Amino acid sequence: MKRLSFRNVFVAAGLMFCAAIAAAPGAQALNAAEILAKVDANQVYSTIYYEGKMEITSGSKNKVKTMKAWSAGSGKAFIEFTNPEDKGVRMLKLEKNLWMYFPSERDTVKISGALLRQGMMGSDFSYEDAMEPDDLKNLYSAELTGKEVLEGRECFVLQLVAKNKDVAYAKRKLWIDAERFIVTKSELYAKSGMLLKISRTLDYAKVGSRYFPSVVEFSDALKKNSKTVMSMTSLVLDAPVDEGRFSLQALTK
Amino acid sequence: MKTSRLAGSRAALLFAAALALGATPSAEAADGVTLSGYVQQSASVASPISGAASLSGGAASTLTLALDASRGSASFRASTHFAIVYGDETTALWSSLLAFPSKALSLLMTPAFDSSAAAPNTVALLSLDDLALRWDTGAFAFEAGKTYANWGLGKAFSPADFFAEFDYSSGVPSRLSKLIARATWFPGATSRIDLVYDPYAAAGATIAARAYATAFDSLAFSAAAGIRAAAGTSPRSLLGAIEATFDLPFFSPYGEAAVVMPLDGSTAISYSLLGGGMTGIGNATILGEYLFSPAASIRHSIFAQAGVPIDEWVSLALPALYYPESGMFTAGITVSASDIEGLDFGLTVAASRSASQAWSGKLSLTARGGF
Repeated sequence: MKRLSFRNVFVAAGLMFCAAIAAAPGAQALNAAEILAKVDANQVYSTIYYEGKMEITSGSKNKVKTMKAWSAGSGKAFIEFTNPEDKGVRMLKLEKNLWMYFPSERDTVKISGALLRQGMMGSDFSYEDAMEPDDLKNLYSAELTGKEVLEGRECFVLQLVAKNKDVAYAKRKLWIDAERFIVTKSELYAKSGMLLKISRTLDYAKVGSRYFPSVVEFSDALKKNSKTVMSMTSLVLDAPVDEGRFSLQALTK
Repeated sequence: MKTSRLAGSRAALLFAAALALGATPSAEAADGVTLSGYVQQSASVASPISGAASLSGGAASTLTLALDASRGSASFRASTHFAIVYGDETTALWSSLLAFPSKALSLLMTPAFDSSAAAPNTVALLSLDDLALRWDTGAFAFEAGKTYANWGLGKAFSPADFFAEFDYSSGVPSRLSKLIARATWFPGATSRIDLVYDPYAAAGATIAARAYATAFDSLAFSAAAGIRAAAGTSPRSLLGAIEATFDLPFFSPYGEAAVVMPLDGSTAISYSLLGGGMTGIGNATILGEYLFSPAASIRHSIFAQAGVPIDEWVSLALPALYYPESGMFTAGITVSASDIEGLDFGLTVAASRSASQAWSGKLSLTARGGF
């Protein structure tokens, strides 16, 4: 049986990364909804292309995977792995559907059900993370609980509670850069209140007028000494991407 | 007649593979061409469990090469392996060739395979595993060569895949690549219609079409129909199949139904039903499949497998295959460790019960280094 290890524009990168896009400065007396709207507004792009590097660390062991990724909005994404061990392995996300292509068997597998909760390519984020829409303001009710200084940056602290059950995490706690409106840190919780995942933006690049998180660290709170650092280079925003890229034909080509 | 045609195709395939792989050094520098491969050493010991213990051993040294190339709308893949096989491993190879005579078509080996002879002690072989050329134009793709149809949903059994032959000799079911030609139309981003022709199928030359689509974000389904030529005592037949899988939050059931309708009325219509499901518990993935084929020599077949990734480097796999009528049973546990000083290791302990109800055990170890 194939080991299912789909990975997205890094859409995951696209999506969880996405949870960290920047905005314009100057935020005073904003309420939670307005802050979230600014964060969400920064995450809007028509297309994105990047070359990614994923460093998976467990204890003293480290593994690097590389990829090329294309995404259109939050609904379409295509990833092709380029590191030798996974070369030619591809992922396709179309809305709520996720497929993976294994070149050695020329086989396409639809990732579904419980498999979506497994770590992608052994990383600390799951397929489900990659499938999450990024319009937080529509998915969550937000409450501004204060301000904190995080790694030298003043941040708004928001508590988010899911409006319905159709999301991977019932609650989120976000630290949002008060100047750039990037999600600097995010804690993801189960409905029970158990902390499941943590992400931190380690670095970001300015692309046009936007601040994009270029290096993000994810860790699974249920795993010890484990983390995944995702880096993006050669980032291109809003450039034309062939619609055929997001199809089963491209996946199997 | 058929034998000579097949022998000719084998020579052509191996020649093409040699050309492809021989061209690698110059092709490597070109855009879109990659060569990869690995060297693997395996060793095993086995013994009867029921009755007196009697140890035997085997080993295999393997060099595998794969070439992938793409240029414009065309892509090409070839993979081959050279192996020196010894002891019990030649016995396993012989058994596999007896079960799937078509595998011998893509093998050059010394001594040559002889189904009437006992397995030799040592074999050297060159195998063509994959050789396929694909060309895409608009929403259509055309592919020909030694490759996989990959229809159906089943991992161990798939009656809806009219072209599949499963090899269980490694303990983990795997589809065999076959000489096929395929034309595919992609009418939408998530749908496809395949037309596949397998001229050398053991059951008779087969041509069939299959339509695949998704719906409601959680349903994937397909329907297939085809025709199979007469072969041996089997008459010309119509084939039909449907398959579907449905995603539930914690469980993904799937099923296949296939029917074979002889056109001359000499035999009754036969059918096969497959039911399966996959679920996850923690990081573990558990899969189970049951195949019911009332007209086949094996009417009931059961496969189950659990996969447990310990981390990105170490994982466990526990497959089990069971035929209730004969009592044949195989189960094992494999510990895999990857990227240890650049090498991948696997340790497998397996137990089998034959149709004669005799138990045997096998311990095998593999080490692999890729490039």
